[in-house]
Amino acid sequence: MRAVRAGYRFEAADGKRYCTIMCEHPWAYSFRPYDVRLPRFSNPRQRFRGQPLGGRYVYQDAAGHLSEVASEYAALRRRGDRCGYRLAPTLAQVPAAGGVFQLGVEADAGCAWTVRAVDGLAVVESGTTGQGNGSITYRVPANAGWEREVALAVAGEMHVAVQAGARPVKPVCERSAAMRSALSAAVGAPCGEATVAALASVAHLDLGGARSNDRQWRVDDAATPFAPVPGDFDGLANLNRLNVAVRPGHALRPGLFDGLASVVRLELHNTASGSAADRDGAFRFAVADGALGGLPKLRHLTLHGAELGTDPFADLGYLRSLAMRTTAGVHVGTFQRLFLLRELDIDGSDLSDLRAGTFRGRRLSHLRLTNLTGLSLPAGLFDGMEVSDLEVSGRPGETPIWLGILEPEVFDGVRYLDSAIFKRLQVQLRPGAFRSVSDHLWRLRLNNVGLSNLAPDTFRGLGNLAELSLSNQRGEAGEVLAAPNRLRTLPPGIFRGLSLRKLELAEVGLEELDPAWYADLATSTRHDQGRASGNHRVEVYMPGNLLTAVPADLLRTVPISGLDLADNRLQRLPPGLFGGLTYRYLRLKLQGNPRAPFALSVRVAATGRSSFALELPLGAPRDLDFRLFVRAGRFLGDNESSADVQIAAGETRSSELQAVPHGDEPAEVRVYLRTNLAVWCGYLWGPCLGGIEVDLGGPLLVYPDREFHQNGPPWRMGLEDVFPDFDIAGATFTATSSDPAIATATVADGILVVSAGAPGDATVTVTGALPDGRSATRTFTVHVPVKGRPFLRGWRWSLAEGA
Amino acid sequence: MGWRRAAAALALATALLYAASAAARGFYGQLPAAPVAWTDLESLSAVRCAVAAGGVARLVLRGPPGLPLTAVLERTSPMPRGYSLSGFLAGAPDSAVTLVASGGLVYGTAWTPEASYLVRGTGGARTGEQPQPECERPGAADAVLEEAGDSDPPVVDLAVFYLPAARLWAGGHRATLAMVDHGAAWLNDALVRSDVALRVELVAAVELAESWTVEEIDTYRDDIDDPDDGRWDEVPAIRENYAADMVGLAYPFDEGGLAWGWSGPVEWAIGSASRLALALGGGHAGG
Repeated sequence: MRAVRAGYRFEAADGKRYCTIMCEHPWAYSFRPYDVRLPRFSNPRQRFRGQPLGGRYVYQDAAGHLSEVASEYAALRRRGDRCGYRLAPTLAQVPAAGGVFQLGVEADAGCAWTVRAVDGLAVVESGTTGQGNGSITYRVPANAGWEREVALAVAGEMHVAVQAGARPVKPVCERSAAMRSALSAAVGAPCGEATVAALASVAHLDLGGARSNDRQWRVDDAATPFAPVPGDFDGLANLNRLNVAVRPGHALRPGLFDGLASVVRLELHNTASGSAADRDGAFRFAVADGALGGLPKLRHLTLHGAELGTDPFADLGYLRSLAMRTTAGVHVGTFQRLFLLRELDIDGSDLSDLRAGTFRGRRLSHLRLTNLTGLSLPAGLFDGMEVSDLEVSGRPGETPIWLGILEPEVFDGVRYLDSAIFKRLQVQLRPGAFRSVSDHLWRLRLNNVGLSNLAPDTFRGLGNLAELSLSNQRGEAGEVLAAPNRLRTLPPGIFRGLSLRKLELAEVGLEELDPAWYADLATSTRHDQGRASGNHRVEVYMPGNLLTAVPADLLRTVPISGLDLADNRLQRLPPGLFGGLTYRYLRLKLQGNPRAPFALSVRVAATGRSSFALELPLGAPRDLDFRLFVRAGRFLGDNESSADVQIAAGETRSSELQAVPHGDEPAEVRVYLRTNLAVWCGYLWGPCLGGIEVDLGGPLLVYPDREFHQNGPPWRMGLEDVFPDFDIAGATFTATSSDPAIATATVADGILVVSAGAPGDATVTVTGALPDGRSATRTFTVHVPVKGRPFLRGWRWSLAEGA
Repeated sequence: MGWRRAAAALALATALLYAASAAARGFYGQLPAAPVAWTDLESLSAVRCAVAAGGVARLVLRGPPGLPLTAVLERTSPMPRGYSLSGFLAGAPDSAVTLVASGGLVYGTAWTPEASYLVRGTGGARTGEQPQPECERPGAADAVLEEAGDSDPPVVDLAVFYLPAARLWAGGHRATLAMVDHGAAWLNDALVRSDVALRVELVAAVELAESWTVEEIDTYRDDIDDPDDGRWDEVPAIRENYAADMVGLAYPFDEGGLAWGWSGPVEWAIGSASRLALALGGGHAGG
C-alpha cells in the first residue's frame, strides 16, 4: 500500500519557497536549499504570508485529511485493554564501584512483564519476569571508565541508572585551545563549568575540516586545524560522531581515542583542498600504528590526507566502511585486518604499491578507487574478492593510468560483481572480457577509456546486462579527455543477447544509427525486463554525436522510453517518426540540433461532408490534447462552441469533428494545444519533450456548403475571398484537382472556377505564391453525390515560409 | 477506510520521528546545522507553574552570540518522563517553540521562517529522579487530557522503539528518550497549529534488543509483523500490552529510511531517530 503525499510547497510573497511538514524530504532529489519547512501540516484554510498553506487536492490538505480520519483513530483506541506499568525509579544513580540495586515495578493486575539488561552492562539477579506488582534486583559491575548509563528495559519502559566512572577526566580548561573552544560550545558553558555530566551529553563534536558525504568531498577552508593529544577527548563517553581537522605534520599517537566507546563515525581531515598540495605530502598528518585504538564501536572511518603506518587498522576489526582521500602509505597489507569491511573508497591516491591479491578474501558491497594517480594498477588486483560495485577511475585532466588489457581472465576470481565502472583510464577490451562476471553483471560503464573499434562479440554472454555506458563524460565543462572513446559506428549485433534498459553513447563521434545494431535493443533476455508482458523499455542517450538523421522506424523498432539526441546534427525528423509508439510517455531531447526546435505541424484533413480531423504527419510523441473554438459557426456535438480532441501517442490523426458555419460567412475555427510540452520530467532530464514544438498554423476557415447544379454553371469565387487574409497583389495563383473527373478547377482573371463532374469526392487545391517565397494554400472538398446536388466546401488556409 | 487510516498513521509517525530528531544536523532539514540556543532545567521548572495555571510565561533562551531569544510559553502537558512547554518566540510572527524536560534533560526546538534553533540544556543531564514543579494548582494542565470528554480530539496511542544504533547516535538513553518525548510534543503542537482535531499520546518508548544492518531493511516489515519468528518479537507483544494504535521504530540517520502502512489494525512507521527522515526520505511517506 502506498500512502498519499500530504505535503505542500509554495512560494510566498517574499519570494521564498516554503513547504509544510510532509513535503518531500529536503535531502531527496527535489532538494532546494531555499525551501523552508513550516511546522504545520498543509491546510488550505490557513494562510502563511498571503498564501494558502495547501492546495485543494486531498494530498495537499493533510490537515483536512487527518481530521477526517480522526474518528477512526478514536475507534481504534482500546484503553480498556491497556496494561499500565510504572517503574520506581525510572532514573537512578550508581557509584563507580557498582553494587546491587532494586527496581520496583508497578503493574496492573494480571499484566505480565519481563526485564532485559540493555547492552549487557547490568546483571538481573532476580525478578526477570513478573505479573502485576513486583521488584527487580540487578547488579552493576564496577566502572573503570567514564560516567555511563546502565539501562534495563521493562515492558515498554526504560530504567536508566547513571553510573559514575573511575577514570579521571582531564579538566576542559587544561586542554588545547581548540578543544576548549569546541567543548564550551558543545555544552553551552565556559570550560570551567563543563562538568563530567555535561561532557557525557555531547553526542557530536565537530572540530572543522572537510566533510565526506557519500562520494562528495568538501573542504572547509575556514577550519582551524589542531594537533589533538591524549586527554583532549576525555569524558566524551557518549560521543557518537567526531570530525577533526588535524594540523599538517602532526602525528596521531596511540591512546588518543581511548575511552570513546560510543564513537561510530570518525572523520580525520587535513585542510588542503588543492590537488597539488594533496599529493606532495606537505599537508598530510600521520596515523601511527595503534592511534585508532580505543574505538570499539567505530563503524565508519574517513581519512583525508593521512600518512598511514604499517598496520594502521589493527584495532578496527568491526569497521564497516572506510573512505580515504589523498592518503599515502596504502600497501598490500593495509586492509588485512578489516574482516567485516563492506565499503571501501580510496580517492586521489597512488595505488602503485598494491599487489595482486590485496583484496583477496574481502567481501565488499562496493570498492571505489577513484581519481587515482600513478601509472598503472597491478594485474590481479581484484583477484579473490567478492564485490558488488566496483569503480575504478583516473584523475581528470591527467594522462590516464593504464588499467591494462581486459583479458577474459581479468575478473577471474571476482564474485558477485553487479556493477563495474571504469573511467578516465586506458583500457583495451578483449572479447569475453567479462565472461567471469556474466552471471551478475547488470551495469557496465566504460567512460573515457580510449575505446575505438569494438568487436561484435565484445559483450557476448552478458545476458543480465541492463545498463551500458560507453560515453565520454566530463566531470566539469571543458575537461580535456585524455583517452576519449571514439565510436564512429558500432558493429552489427554488438548488443545481441543483452537485456539493456539503458544505453549511453554520449559524445563518442557516432555518425549513424544503424538498425544492424539498434534492432537488438528491442529484445531482452531477462524475464524480469518485461519481455513476456511487453513492458521492456530502453532509455537511449546519444547526445553530442555527429548524427545527421534519425531512422523513421527507430521508435517502432525499439521500445524506447527516453531518447536523447541533443546536440547532434539533425536537420529534419522523418515523417512518421512517432507513429506506432508503444509507450505513451516518451521522453525526448532534441535540443541543440541545427534545426531545433523541430516543428510538429498540425494539419486539417477533411474526412466527410461536414467532418474533419487533425493530423500530425510526424505522429504524436505523447498524448496531445487540443481544444478547438469556433466563431461564426458551431460544432455538431454537446458543446457547440468548443470541442476537445486528442491525438494519442503513436497516432497521426485525431478523432473526427463536425463544424458548420452559421450563414454565408465562413466559420473560423482556432486550434489550441492543451498539453504542456514543457512539463518537467525530472531534474536530470528537463522538459519531457525538448527541442520540438507544435505548429498549429493559422485558423481553420469552414465555408458554407456551396451547392451548384451538376452540369450547370461552374462555381465561381473571387480570389480575394478565397484568401481574405492574404495580400494577393503580385501573387501567382494555380488551382488543381485531385480528380478532374469529379471536379475541375482553374484560376483566371482573379476568379477561381470549379465545375462538378462524375459522383465522388475530389480535393481542389489553390495556391498563391509571392515573389518573396511565401505561399498560401487553400483546399476545398468537392462532393458530387449520386443523387442530389453536389457541393463544395472550403477548409483552411496556411501561410508557409519558403517553397 | 483502511488505506486512509494507514496513510494518516504514516503522516503522524513521520512527523513524530521527524520531530524527534530535529536535532543536530538541522531543524526541519535545513542546512547547515541549526544553531543551538541554551536554557536549563531549573528555568523550565520555574515557568512551568505559571503556564500550568493557565497563564503565559516568558523564558529567555541564550542563543548564538548576540542573539538572545525570548520564548513565550502558553501551553504545557505532562510527558512520560517530565513535561512539555510550548509557545512561540517573542517578536517573531509564525514562530514556534517546543521544549521538553525529560529524564533530567532539556530538549527543544525553536523555529521562525527565517531560522531554526535546537534548544539544549546547559550542564548536561541531571541525574536521579527529577521532582516535578510544585505549582499552586498542580497538574492543572495535565487534567486537560486526563479528563478528556466527548468533545476532545481523538487520541492516537503511540509506542516508539529505538535501535541501539539510534541510542548511540543520540548520545545515550536519556537523550534518545528526550528526543522521542520532544517528538510527541512537537507533533501535538503541529496538530494544534494546523487545526487538526487529533492528538498523540506516547504510551511506551523502549530500546530493542536487536540491531540491524541496512541490507536487512527490506525484512523489517515481515520481522516485526511476525510475532513468532524470533526477530523483534517484543514489538508486537508490547504493542498489544499498551494497546498502541501506532508503532514507530527509530534508527540512526546514517542508515537510510523506510516507512509503510497497511490496512490492518496495526500501523507501523519506521524511520530515522536522528533527523527525521523516516518516511520523508525519498517520498516514502508521501508515496
